[in-house]
This record gives sequence, C-alpha cells and structure tokens, in this order.
Amino acid sequence: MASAVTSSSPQLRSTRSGSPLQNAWRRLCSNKLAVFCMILLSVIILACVFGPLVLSNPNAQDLELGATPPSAEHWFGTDTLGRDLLARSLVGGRLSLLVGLVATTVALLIGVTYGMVAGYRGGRTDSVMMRIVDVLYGFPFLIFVILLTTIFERSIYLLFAAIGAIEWLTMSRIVRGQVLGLREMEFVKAAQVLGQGTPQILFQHLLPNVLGPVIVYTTLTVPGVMLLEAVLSFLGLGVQPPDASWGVLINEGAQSMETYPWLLMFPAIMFSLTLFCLNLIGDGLRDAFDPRSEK
Amino acid sequence: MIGFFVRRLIQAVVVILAVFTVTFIMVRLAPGGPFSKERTAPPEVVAAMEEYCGLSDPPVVQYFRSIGMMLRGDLGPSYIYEGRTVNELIATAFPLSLTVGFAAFVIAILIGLPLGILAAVRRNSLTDYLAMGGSMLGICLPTFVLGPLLALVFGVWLNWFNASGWYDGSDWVLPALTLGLFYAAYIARLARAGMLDVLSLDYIRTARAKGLDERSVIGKHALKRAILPVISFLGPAFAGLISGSIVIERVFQIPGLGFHFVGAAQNRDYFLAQGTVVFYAVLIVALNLLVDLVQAALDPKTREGKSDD
Repeated sequence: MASAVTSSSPQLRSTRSGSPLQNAWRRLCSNKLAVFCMILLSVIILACVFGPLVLSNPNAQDLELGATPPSAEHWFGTDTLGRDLLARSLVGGRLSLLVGLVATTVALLIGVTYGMVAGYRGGRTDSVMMRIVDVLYGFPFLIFVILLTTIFERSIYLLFAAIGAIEWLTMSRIVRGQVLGLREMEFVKAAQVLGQGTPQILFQHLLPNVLGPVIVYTTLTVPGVMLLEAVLSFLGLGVQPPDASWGVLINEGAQSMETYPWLLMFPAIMFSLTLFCLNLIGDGLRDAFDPRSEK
Repeated sequence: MIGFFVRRLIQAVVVILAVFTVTFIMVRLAPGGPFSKERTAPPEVVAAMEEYCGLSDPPVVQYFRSIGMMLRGDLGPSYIYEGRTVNELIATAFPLSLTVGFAAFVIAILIGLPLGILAAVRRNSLTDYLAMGGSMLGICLPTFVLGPLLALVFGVWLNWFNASGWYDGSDWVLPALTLGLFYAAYIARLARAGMLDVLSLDYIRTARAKGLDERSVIGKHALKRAILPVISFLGPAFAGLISGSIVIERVFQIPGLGFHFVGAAQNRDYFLAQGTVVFYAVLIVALNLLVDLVQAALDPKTREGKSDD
C-alpha cells in the first residue's frame, strides 16, 4: 500500500509523517538487501503455489527413465523413480511453507496471549509464568515431538500443533517485556477506569501497541518452524512419503548423494534460500521498526 | 548466592520429575507394546518377558516402581536389545554423543566468539561483512543439509574421513564440525551484537579516554559484559546440541544416545525411551544450572533474582 513512496529521496524520509507501520514499511523498502530478499521469497512462494499447476504430476513415476541429471526436459533432473525433481521440489515447498505459516500462527496465538497476560498481570503471576518459560527454554523439545509422533498417527495436523506448541517461547518473552512497559501508561489506566474487561484491554488497547515487535518475531519464527518441520521429516517422523516436503526431499537426496548429488543439491538450495530470505527480511524488519538498533 | 543455588536445585528436581511423568504417560499411551508386532518370540516367552518387566501391573504401580528403580540408578532392561540393560546401553552410547557434542561446543565457541568480536570491533568493514555473511550462511544451512554435504566432499570425494559410521579415531570430526559450525554462526551474531552494545557505553569511553590501548579496552573491559548474551544462549544451545545430536547421529550413522532414542521411540522400548529421556533431562538441567551459576557470577543482576531481560 505504501510502496509508492519508496523511490522518494532518502533525506525526506524521517520528516514524513505516517503511522508507525507505514514508516517501518518505508524504512524496510530502503534496505536493498531486504527488498531483494522479499522479491526472491515472493518468486519462490509463487513458484511453489502455482508451479505444480503447470508442471507434470510430481508423483508420476517413470521407472525406465530412473535418475537422470538436470536436462532441458527436467530442469532439476529426476529421482531414482524417474519423478521430476522440479515438480517435487515445488510441491514439497508448498507443504513446507504451509507448515511454516500454520505452525507460526499457532505459535503466535499462544505466545502473544501468554506474554500479554504475564506482562499485564505482573507480580507473582508474571514471575511464575516467566519462570515456566525459562525452564521450557532449556529443554530439547525434539525429544517430546519424537515421542508424540510415535503415539499418534503421523499427520500434518499433529505437526502443526507440535511445532506451534514449541516455538511460542521467544514470542511470549518479547510481548511480555513490551506489555510490562505499556501497562503503566495513561491509555491503559483510562481503559481500566472506564471499567473495560481484561480481554478487551489486552486485545483492543495493548495488542496494537506491540504489533511492531510481534511482526518482527513472527518473521523470524517462520524459518525456525520450517527448520523443525524439515528436521522431523528428515528423521522420517514428519511428512510421510510419497508426499514431499523439503525435509523429505533432502532426506531422500542425502541417501543417494554419492551417485546422484543433484537430488540433494536442489531441494537443499531451495530450502536454504528460503531460510536465508526469511532471516534477512526479519533482520530488516527489526531495523525498520526500531531505527535505533541499526548497526 | 546460596539461596539462589538451592532454589534452582529444587526447581531442577521438579523439572526432572515432570519430564519423567510426561514421558511415562506418553510412552504408555502409544498403541502397541514392545512385543506386539514381534517377529521373534513365541507367546510364552513374551508373557514371561512382560511379567519380568512388570507390564501386567497397573500403571500407577509401574510408575512408582520406575521412580524407585531410578533413584537406585537402575534404568531397567531394554526390550529391543535382548539381555542388555538401559544402563549398559547408555554407558556405551553416551561417550560417543559426548565426544561429538563437546567437540562441537568447542568448535562453536572457538570460531563464533572471536568472529563476532572481530566483526563488532571492525564494524562495517570488509571483515564485518564477511563474518556476518558467513554466519548468515551457517544459520541457513541446517545440520541435515551441511552434514551430508560435508560427508560428500570430505568423505566421498576427498576421502579424508569416513562418510559415516563410527570406526576410526577421526570419525568425530565431520559430525562435530557440522554441529559446531551451526552454533558458531549463532554465537558470532550474538557476540557481535553484545559487543556493539557494550562499546557504546560510557565506561568504555572512559577506558579509552584514560589512554588504555584498544587491546585491553576490548579484552579486559568490554569482553566480560559483551559475552553475557552468549552465556545466556548457552542453556538453549545445550538443549539444541542434544536435539542436534539426534539429527547428526542419524546423518552419520553413529550409534550414540540420540540414535538409540529414536530407535527406542519407534519400537516402543519403554525402558530405553524413558531412561534416555530422563538421562537427557538430568544432563540438561545440570548444564542449565551450570550456566545459571556462571551467569550469576558474571552478572550481579541475575544473582539478585531479577529475571528482567
């Protein structure tokens, strides 16, 4: 929406008025690396969403063809079952990105609510709640997720829930820190005096004020979530073949990398590029929302 | 300081107990006991085994018996490795994991810390850009990508090391490097940010103003505070190293603790799964306690119990 102003001269930027979100967006757009990453990420996302519609069936096997190196017909080559790796990489990316998006939303909901309640209540509630977070922080959750996947049917919904339930910790810490500072401000006092309920104060008055940090850490949570999905799929506990995700493809590629290195290379490159973009956009957003932190 | 230590110790016991309880419930909720899909033993042997392991008792009895056994340091028998106890399995597997984990930790600190500090001191120079670019690359190349790549290059193509397995004395190098580089990248970024924060403080300006050379300003005055964020990352990093070792041991086919744990979870080896998790929990809690103590020694604010970050 505010992208029209990106080309304006940089000197004027700081004097422009606008909502904090618009200002942050403007600053983000002046960060060349972040813009480059946003474009690259958009290309990857668009390719994953729309690519499989025009490409051949990613599960179509051609056993006579077998594994072939990249060619004009199969840009990424084919795997041992003769399946087109480009199509599989794109479909896999679709699933990986979907997990990233949904599990992040789960983490976002838990983390923001938990952090807001802790920060707003303060006192003993706060210290107990945050102590719990401290303890959970030091725990290797992968272990519990592995146990979980052995109990329940391995499904993508379990994956969403399990990953989301792990990745909310940092978010809750950040939101809690922000709310702790905000709750003494006049607008919160005013809302309390007016007799508004806690949920209303939390979500109507406090939430908009912590949006900046929340956006930044949401962006930084997505790569963490995608990493976890990939680890689980790599261990054979996440997405199940013949469905593909980047983790599944990397696992398959790693098993035959000595003879068919491209099977590992292409999914790994796509996965790493996506992580790279998300991390750099997150860094860019952090600088954009907090100009003081620019180093 | 002693009060602080005692509080943390009580908390540690609570955490370990909670972890054990959750694991106990989860493992037993899993459909199918360890012998259900068995191809091996005849029914009477299975029944005898189940009787021996006490699986016919009600869960509550099993729960308290397990706790009692653990307090005596007995983690029970393994189902999938016949005739071997969980204690024996952990005793043979853990040294492997420890070797890799410790080497990875040393690599992460030795590479990450100097790199981050150098980048901060020479901010916005080519060194800084190279260091930070490199660390970004490290973060975006997860262990299960970097591991196979290193195995391909140094194991298969150059043939310097075994691409997988645990046979030679040098087999720890590639796994440790894979795991260590990932954390080195994180630590470099934290160290850089920490150092930059400290370098803008007044006491550093004072140190410079009184004519100290840059070396002692950085090394003596700034460093102690700059590594605080790195130290508080170490708790989560230990947890990460353990999770990471599960992946790494899979990538390089090392029969370490993580390797056994995944196998135990998949095969419903109750005692092995539960024993491994409790062992992990004790390890993690002990390491976190250590990190807390180091942190308290370096930073008076933590010592007084203010958990404000």
